[in-house]
Amino acid sequence: MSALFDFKSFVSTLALFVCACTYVKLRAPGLIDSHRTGFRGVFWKAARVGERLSPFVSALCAYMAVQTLFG
Amino acid sequence: MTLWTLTQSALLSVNAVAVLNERRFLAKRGLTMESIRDGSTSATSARGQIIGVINAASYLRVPLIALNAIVIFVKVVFG
Repeated sequence: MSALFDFKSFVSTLALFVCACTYVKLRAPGLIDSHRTGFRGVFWKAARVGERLSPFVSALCAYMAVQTLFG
Repeated sequence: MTLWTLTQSALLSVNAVAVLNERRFLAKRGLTMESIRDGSTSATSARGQIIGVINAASYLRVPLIALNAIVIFVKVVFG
């Protein structure tokens, strides 16, 4: 089944999504910044979270890495 | 433990280091290459080694975009 129905998988997918959006914004800001509302606004919001709350996203990634391996 | 969980775990670990923002997080704590260049931190000390690892991981950001997208796609479609 899709990862969206399993909470653990969903959280790690969300962490990977936030990371990916952050990297895209660092590389090509115009691609993300040009659409702040609607469906494409989701990418902008994720990128904003990734750059402002980077220590927390990092901690979440590390925690989910341990959970994936041993949990 | 399968190769797939190991791959996900490794990807999340690399992301955990690479996502740290230089300007907003690392610069305030003196964890950028700048503090090695200006001589305030020795490159061979434990702190210097950590700075080196974080700096190296920041070069992985572009390949990580593709790897994250692939893993997200596989997880959403196949579970």
